[in-house]
Amino acid sequence: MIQKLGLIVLLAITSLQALDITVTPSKSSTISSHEAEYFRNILMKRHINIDPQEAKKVLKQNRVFADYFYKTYGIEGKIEELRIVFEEKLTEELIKKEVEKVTINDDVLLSFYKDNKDEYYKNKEIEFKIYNFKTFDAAYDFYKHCNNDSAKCASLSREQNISIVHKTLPLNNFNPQLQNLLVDNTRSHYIVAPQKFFKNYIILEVVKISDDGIMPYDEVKDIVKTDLQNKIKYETKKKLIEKLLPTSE
Amino acid sequence: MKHLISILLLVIFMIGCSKESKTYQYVTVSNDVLKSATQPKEHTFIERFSDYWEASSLNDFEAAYAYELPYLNFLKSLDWYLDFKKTAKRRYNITLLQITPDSKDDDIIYARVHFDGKNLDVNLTEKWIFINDIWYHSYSQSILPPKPPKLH
Repeated sequence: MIQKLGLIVLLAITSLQALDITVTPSKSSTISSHEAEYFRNILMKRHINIDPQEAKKVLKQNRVFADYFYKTYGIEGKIEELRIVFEEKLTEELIKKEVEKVTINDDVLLSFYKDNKDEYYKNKEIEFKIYNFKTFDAAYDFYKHCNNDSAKCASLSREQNISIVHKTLPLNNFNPQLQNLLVDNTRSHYIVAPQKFFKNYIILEVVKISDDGIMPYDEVKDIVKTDLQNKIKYETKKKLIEKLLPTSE
Repeated sequence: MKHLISILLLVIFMIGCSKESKTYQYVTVSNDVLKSATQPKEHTFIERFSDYWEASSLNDFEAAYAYELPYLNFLKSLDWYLDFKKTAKRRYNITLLQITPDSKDDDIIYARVHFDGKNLDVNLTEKWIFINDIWYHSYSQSILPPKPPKLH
């Protein structure tokens, strides 16, 4: 609902001088690839990975539900809610953009990393996929055709519209029942034969098990940059207040 | 021509001597450190350490600022640093007691330092970090904003 309304607001805002928000029913129920990608990025931040087709499907549902909500219950009171959320989001983005303008040279980044190395410690992690099936036969048939080939599994799952969970988790947070299926705690790139899991049958694909330890600088450079940028957010906001609200405290 | 070469050699010799005989009013390096420092990287560390603490003891904090880690100087301006160091305007005698490279990264050195001055007689451990062939001093983290969230 909020996503749908957010999109409408984004469209509406281009024709307005200030942040007056108008919401009208959408004339299009088509979801663009750009919208799907945007939605996938939001989900990625919640550690949920879905493919673009699935993203479009969910967005379309949301759009239909939002339209139905609009027509059935109206959106009285929602505009103020939206305005607050939207203004907060724009404030965050403004600070982010201003922070990004600041040049950070490599000596600065490297010294920040070296002085705060412990912050870049990573536990052993497992990247995995779980393919879900209603019956053992369906799971076994899929497993046979995959022939222990990850790319084949992926294309077959798309063809057969099989639901997949693709996640990366700390190994110690990985479901104990699934942990028992692992060959060991180091091996990557293999597919486990179908297993009963709650009411369904699953095929577990171990994509990668990464080592623990302090991550090398080159691997975390972008994270280091973001961490350092976070440290200058406060100063940046202060400067913006001085510039845009010179009379405020 | 011979005279010119002689003069040139003399100048080079004098420069060499002046470097060897660099003396510090407030900084002493213990014999243990001098004996254990075998690598050029450790020698440059001792020199940077001594220069930094000599400048600090002379209250030349503008010079000392250049020895602080690049990211700390990126986050905090010279004006802020000078203000921060206002309370540190005391004369110390500093002795470098021991240097220990980090067990996993020899670009990090922990220096055991003795501070001796008015109302002060204490041993502290400092961290120094080697960035692109230069050693930098790391000052207390507590003065900085909170650390970024842990990834694990």
